[in-house]
Amino acid sequence: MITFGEGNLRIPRFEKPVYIVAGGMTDFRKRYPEKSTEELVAEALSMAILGNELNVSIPDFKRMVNFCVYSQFADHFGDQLLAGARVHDALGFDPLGNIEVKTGGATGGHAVLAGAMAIASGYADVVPVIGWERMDEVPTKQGNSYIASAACKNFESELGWMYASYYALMAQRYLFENQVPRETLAKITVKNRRYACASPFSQNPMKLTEAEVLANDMVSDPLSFLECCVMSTGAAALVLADETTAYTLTDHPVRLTAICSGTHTLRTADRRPMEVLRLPHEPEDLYKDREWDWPGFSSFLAARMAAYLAYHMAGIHNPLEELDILETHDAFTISDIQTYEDIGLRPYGRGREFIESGEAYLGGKLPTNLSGGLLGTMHAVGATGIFQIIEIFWQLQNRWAKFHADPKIWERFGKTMPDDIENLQVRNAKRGAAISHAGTGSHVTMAILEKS
Amino acid sequence: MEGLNRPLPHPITPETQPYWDGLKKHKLMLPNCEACGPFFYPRILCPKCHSPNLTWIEASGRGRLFSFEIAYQAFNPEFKIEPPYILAMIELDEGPRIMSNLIHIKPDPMVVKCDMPVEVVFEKLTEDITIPLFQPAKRIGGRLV
Repeated sequence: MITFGEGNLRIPRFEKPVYIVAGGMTDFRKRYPEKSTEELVAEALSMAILGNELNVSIPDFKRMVNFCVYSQFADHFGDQLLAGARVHDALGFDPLGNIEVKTGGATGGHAVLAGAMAIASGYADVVPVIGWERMDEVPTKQGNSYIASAACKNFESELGWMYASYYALMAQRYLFENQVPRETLAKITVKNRRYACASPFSQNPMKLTEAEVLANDMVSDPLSFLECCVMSTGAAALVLADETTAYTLTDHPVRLTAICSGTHTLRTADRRPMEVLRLPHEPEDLYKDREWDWPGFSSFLAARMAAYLAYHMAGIHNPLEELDILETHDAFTISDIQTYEDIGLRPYGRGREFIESGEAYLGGKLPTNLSGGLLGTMHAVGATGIFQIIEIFWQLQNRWAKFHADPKIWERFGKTMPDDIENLQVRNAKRGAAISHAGTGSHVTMAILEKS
Repeated sequence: MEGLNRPLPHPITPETQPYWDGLKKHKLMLPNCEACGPFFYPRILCPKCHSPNLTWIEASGRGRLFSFEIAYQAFNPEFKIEPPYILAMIELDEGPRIMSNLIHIKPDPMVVKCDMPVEVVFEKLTEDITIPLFQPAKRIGGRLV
C-alpha cells in the first residue's frame, strides 16, 4: 500500500475491556529432552493458575474456560501437524473450541490479539493463550535452514539465505546511512544478556563487555554471533478475561488497553516508498528536510503501523513519556535500533540515542527488555510474544521479585539463584508495551498494558 | 539436483515466465507498468497501482550495491557454495531493487562498499534456469563501461 484510504487507519476498539489475570512459563533451554511438549505446556499453565494465586483451583479454572488460542510457529520442528490438537487434549479442554495462530515470529503477539478479540467481542469470558516451540528435535543447522525458508522460494532461496543474513543486509545499509558505530549495537546485547542473569527462565545469561562482542566471530557480517538471539525450547501461558471474571479471579488484573497489528512485504527488495505515517507526537514538519524512501529497506512499516494504531487505541500521545516499561523483539541487535525509531522513541535516523542515552536501562526513562529479551532469555518462537507480555504483566503488578528473585523458582529449573541478583522491578510502573515481530518485519503486533 | 551448487527457484509461475526466458538469452527483463514504470519482482498486478496492464522492458544490467552482507555459514544443504560469500541487494539503474549475490570480488568489508557500481552476470544453473548475479562494474581508463 502506498497511500491510505478511508478505513485503512480506523482505530481498532474493544467493545468490552480485556484483562490479563495470570501468566506462567517454563524455563527456556536449547534442548529439553526431559519433557514432552504437552508437559511443558501443562507446566506453564499450572504456573499461571497457581503462581499468580488466582482465587480458583486448577480443576475449577478449567471449568470456567470458554475457548483457547494456541501459538506455535513451525510445524517442521516437531514434524507434527495439528500439534495444537494434542496440546488441547492433554490439557483436558476437549471439546471446547480452539484456534492455532501462525504469523512467524509474531505468532505469540497475534495469538494474544486473537484471544483479546474473543473477550472484547463477548465471544468468550475466559481464554487461555498458550504458546510453545520445541526447536530441539532437529540439529541447529537444520533448524536454521527451516527458519530461512521464510525467504521467497520463487526468487531468493537460491542465493544462500539464513536468518541472520536478512538482518545483516538491513544492518549494513542502516549503519552506512546513519553512521552508527558497532559499539552501539554491542551495548544492546550486553544489556539484555546482563538482565537475563536475573531471570530463572533464561537460556543464555552472560556478563559481557562491549569489547568481547566486537571481538566475537561474525556469523553474517556486520552481525556477530553474540548479536543474534537464542533458539529455545519452552512454553508460556497467559489467561485473558472480561472485567467481571477478571476481578473474580484476582484483585490485581492488568488491563490490555490495546493490541494492534501491522504487516509488510516478505521480500525486502519489494518495499515501496510512501509518506511517513506519523505517530501522535511527531510534528508534521519532522521530516520535511529529509529525503529518503521511507520505509525503504531499513524501517519496519509493520511496526510503525502497529504502533500508530496501538497508541491511538490506548490514548498514548508520547510513548517515551507515557510508557514505563518496554519489551522489544530483540532477535538481532540491529532490529532493536530500527524498532526504537518505528515506535517513535526517536526520530528516524536517531534510534541509537535511545540506547546511548541510558534511557533503555533500568533507572532510565523507559527500561527495555528487563526480561533478558530474545538475546539473553529465550526465543521459543510460538511462546515469545506471550512471554514478553507476561513479563510486562508481572512488572505492572509489582511482582517482578515474586517470579524472579525467589530461590524456589530457580530450584524448580535446577538452578541456584545468584547471590548478587539485580532487582529489576521498575518502581511505580503503570503502563508498558510489548512488540512481537516476524520475518524481516512481515508481521508486528504492539500490545499496551495498563495497571488497573 | 545432481551437480547443482544452489537450490533452484521454484515454482516458475506463468507471470514470471518472460523473466526466466529473458535470462536464458542473457537479458535481464523487468515487468513494466504503463502508468508507474518498471518494477521487480514479476507479479500479476502492478504493486503500486494494481493495474493489470503490464509489459516487459530489458534492463541495462547496471546498478549500484544498495546493501550487502558477508555470510560465513550456509544452512541450506542444497546451497553448496563455500562461505564466505556475499548476499547483495542491487538497486538497478531503472529503479527496482533485486536480491542477488555479488561475485568476482574478495568477500571483505574493507573491499565491498555500499553504493559501488555493479553489473549483471548471467549464471546458468540448468537448461531452463539462469539466474542474474552481479559483479563490480568494469572500468576502462577510469570510466565505467
